[in-house]
Amino acid sequence: MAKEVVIEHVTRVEGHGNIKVLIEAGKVKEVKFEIYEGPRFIEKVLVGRMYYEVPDIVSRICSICPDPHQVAAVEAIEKAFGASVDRQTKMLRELQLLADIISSHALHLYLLALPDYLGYPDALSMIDKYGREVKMGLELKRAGNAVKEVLTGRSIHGCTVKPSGYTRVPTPSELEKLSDMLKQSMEGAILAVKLFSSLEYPDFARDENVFMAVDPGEVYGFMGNYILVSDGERYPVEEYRKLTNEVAVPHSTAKHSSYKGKPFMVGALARVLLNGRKLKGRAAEMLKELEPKLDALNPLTNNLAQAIETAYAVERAIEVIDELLDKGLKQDVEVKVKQRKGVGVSAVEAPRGVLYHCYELDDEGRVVRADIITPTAQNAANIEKYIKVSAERLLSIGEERLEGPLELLVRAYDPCISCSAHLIKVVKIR
Amino acid sequence: MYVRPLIACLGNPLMGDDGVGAAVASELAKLGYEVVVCGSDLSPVLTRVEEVDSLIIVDAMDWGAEPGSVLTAKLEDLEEGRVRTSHSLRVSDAIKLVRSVFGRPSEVYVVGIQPERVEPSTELSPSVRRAVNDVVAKVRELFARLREGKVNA
Repeated sequence: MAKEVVIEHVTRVEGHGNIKVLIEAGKVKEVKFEIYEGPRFIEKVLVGRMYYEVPDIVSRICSICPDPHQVAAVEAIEKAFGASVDRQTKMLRELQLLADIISSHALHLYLLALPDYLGYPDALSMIDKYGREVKMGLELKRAGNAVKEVLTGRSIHGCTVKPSGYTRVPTPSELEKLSDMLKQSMEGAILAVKLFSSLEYPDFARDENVFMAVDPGEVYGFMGNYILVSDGERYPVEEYRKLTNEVAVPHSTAKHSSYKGKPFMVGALARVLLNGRKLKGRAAEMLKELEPKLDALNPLTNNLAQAIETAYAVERAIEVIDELLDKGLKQDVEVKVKQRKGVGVSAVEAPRGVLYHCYELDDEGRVVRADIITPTAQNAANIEKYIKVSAERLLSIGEERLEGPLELLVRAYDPCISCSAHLIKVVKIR
Repeated sequence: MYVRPLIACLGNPLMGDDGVGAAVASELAKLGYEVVVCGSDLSPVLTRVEEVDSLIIVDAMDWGAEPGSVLTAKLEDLEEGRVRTSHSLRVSDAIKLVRSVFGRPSEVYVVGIQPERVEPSTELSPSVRRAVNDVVAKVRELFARLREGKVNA
């Protein structure tokens, strides 16, 4: 007789998803990673909008990673217009992406993943015993938020990011304050690496994997014009459809991706495995020491890769600020581009992996077509593959005990099933 | 007693009436108030939390009332249902977490607006749109009372 194990509403992930495992005659017959987040049709909302409205609209796709959406959008629009930006704008964009990495990884590592490994239901319950860790996590997140606030006017859904530049450039004293704050938060980033390197990662999910990440050039980073694949291939971002090959699946509002017929993984583990030799400073030293723990076959080690990246992002953000201060900030940046008909594609690394934005614009700069492929959509098929591998191996421990390990696996990807509306639901007023 | 309150407006303006917080924020900003525009995540208050004693949260809130109704209450007096929001963290839990680490804010008030429709749209429904001025007035009144140290809502 067939039996279905259903893990409803996976907790401590961004958005809403279920895990379903169908067991027949003592074997795992089918697994589903159901994403039932309501589609929000953002790509359709964009059609007919002017190019300068796009960064503000796409930032609403996610409250955890609005910044990569904004940077990807403006870069794609600039490519469509054949426009380029100066070094200062490029550096400010890098800083914005670094800040989002810090803020998002801090939240995931300290508040969402750590309770799993320390045996608590959530971060709130950890406070008595692990108050220092929770404080470090919130302080790190706050430092990331502070950088975003200075650069974009808000720590979420910023409003200064436009094609060709920022409508407001930070002052030197604002950047100096940020640098001090980041220096103080380095302790939290290093503690995260220590914590996540001391954990034992279960091996129930080990299996061959394929990875993809943006090729950042010479320095470890989150922007680039090519995509690296772990099979040695390198593709220009314009060919992203060859890499994603999206298909709709009935059980998920997120499409599934595959590369040469196989599911693949994007995110911190993919980046550190493909680009780790380009890391610098403390992160490079720590990677050297911890490399054996980063297991390409075990997606659970994504958490350790996130911790290493957080340390890198803090150090690199300080370095970028120093360089901006050294060079002197041009305050009178004219945010103006010349519209023309065209198509532009960009890829940036969001905290959870490669994010593609593609826009077709008409000669007035209106959006004719938009295509946005998020990292979690790319990871969905990979998550499903590993749920199957894990469930098969774990069946012997009993169906009723599958929930914990399978949730741990899904959470390791830090999936951003995407938040839509936030609403306080009140059941009683005293 | 001088108490510095902070106003935090939550809500996604692309999700119909959920965007009422953003609409209130823009009216308050026109009047010269400093407002933290939070979108769908309360974490933007983190960068200000050490400067303030009290927090006023403005958000769409479902308590089964007539659409456009406005309710002001202490956060502690609201029993929140299980919400499927960012990482399953309810507003009350997020505040508990922040308080445990930073010892602030001591007082949290919610000015909630009952939505009519929460679905993809950039428009507020008429009932909620009509309530915006009332919400702004209630927030201003609460802000003034908190500043003067008259902290009973």
